Amino acid sequence: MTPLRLIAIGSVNQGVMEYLTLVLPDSTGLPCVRAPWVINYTEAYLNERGQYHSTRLLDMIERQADGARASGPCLGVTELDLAVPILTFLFGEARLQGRCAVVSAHRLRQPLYGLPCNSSLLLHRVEKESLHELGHLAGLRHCRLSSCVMAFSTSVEHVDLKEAAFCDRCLPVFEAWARGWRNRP
Amino acid sequence: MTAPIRILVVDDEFSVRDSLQAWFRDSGYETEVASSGKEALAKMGRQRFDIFLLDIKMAGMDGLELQETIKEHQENPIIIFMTAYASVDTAVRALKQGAFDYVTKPIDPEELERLVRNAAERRLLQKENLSLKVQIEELTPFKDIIGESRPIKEVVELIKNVAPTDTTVLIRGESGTGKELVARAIHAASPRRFMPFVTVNCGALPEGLLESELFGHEQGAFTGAQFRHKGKFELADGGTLFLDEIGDVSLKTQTDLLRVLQEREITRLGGTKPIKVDFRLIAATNCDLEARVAEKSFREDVYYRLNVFPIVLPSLKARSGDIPLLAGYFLQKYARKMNRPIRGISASAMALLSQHSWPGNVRELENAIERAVIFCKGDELLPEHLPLQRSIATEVSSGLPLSEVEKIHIQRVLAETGGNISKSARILGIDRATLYNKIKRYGLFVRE
Repeated sequence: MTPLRLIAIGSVNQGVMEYLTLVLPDSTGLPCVRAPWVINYTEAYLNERGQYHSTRLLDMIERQADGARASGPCLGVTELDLAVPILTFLFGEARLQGRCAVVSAHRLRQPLYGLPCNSSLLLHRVEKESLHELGHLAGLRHCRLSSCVMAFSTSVEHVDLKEAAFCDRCLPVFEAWARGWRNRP
Repeated sequence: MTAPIRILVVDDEFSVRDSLQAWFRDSGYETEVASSGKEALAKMGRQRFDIFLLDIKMAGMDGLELQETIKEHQENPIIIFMTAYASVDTAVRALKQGAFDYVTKPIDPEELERLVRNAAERRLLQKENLSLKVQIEELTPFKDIIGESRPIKEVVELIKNVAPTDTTVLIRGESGTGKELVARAIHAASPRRFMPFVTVNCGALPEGLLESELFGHEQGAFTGAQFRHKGKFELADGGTLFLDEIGDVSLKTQTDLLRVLQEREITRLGGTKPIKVDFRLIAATNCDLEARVAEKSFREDVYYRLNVFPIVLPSLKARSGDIPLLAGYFLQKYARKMNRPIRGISASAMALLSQHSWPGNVRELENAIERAVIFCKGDELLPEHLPLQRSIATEVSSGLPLSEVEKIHIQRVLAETGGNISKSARILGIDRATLYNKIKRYGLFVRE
């Protein structure tokens, strides 16, 4: 069975990585393994913004996956503040129907908004955004239903409004994608 | 189906075109890009676009010139300009010439989303009218309210009556009777159904945090508030706000709530500007609010504001005739979810279900069936699959501390589910992150 690979980019809270390793197999039916790849994230640094170019990070993950001849979906997990030059920030990025995605916990933390640290809420948010990006890999676009994990979020409040689950319309597409990977040797 | 919105992005920078094309595509918009005014006009010759995103400063034909040319080719185009801070004056000129709006680079995703959504909504209003009517007819907001008994039919009738109005609803009932389900059904059958349904569990948050959750705060409102934070009142704008456990709200927050209900506007913490909010309020409680009012721990004026249209949910015991129907519904739901070929519930198991007192109401019944589906290896649920005969008290020594009992119980459920976090959390009635934290605390196991 083809696994879903998690790649830590930079220093990532171990609890976040462990939690994703535990819950993503429940949602995808794919075993989840941590790939020990080293992503040279400093190359994606945007000097003038103090942020990291998420598309460049995606390219780096893809190159690592190609180099390691690793099949299956890859999800980069980071605490870096992601952006692309035209947008001020991103929670994550994925190529529609691609193989690689990246998600950031940076703007999902409560203290960034002046609120008390809440590790459970952080885990929920990272899980939702990870599922969201995996949904894009499955070919799903943003969903109009605000409770669906594929709903578009531009703030943590919107992330909190949605559930860590696909709606009835998105779920079959996601399941077919996951099944496709499960059936591969 | 309404035709998708078509966007044309015109910018001479490749990275801008590339990022925005991916961004809009993910949101379901059909997007084309052009690197110059000339290329944009060529694409316009081949297809019609609903929204134009134009860079102001481009070599050759600049954004303002392109705007004029687009207006000659197409009636009422929606044009949004992208500009650097330095050229804001030019953008303002563009607005005067009929542009829809402008954004400054780099663009805040929320700002971009809002702008494009507003533009798309304007475009879609007429196009979607017909298809929305069809969708509305397809919606079945009451499908999850299961039961044929008189008490539950009366509840459904009340929901149907109140849903189309904007009246405040107070849902009362014991824990596990489905108060949130009813609130969601009211929202789904209301004209606000396409707007957010926002839930706040008032009992779960300490007073200070509840205030920040409800009202939001401005950037710099207090130490550490690096960003503006929208409150639930704002998030529910246009939709429905569901305040669960309203009986647990402090007197101070009740006073603030009363003000919002009267004036329909809020001020974020640390803010000075009042913000108009338009939401429908549904509150729920299992408390005896009248007693709280009598003992002065709940404001009488708030009580009357909330108790406009009360709906009292029957306990499962009061509608025990619905138990076979509910049990069958949950069996079907979990058998399908867990891919188990279970046909039905044996007569003896059903008798056991019907005799049980169900202090935890429908939620307890649902948990019992889910657990039974996990245990059942055959094609019929039998009494031994049900957790009703077993009691944790008989299995765990009474001399153990609470944390040890919790640890043993979690360990057992994890073993029963083969370490599946989602299933275990559902059975235990806690969320997955809480379960994960407990697993870490007790050092129980980590799935490889």
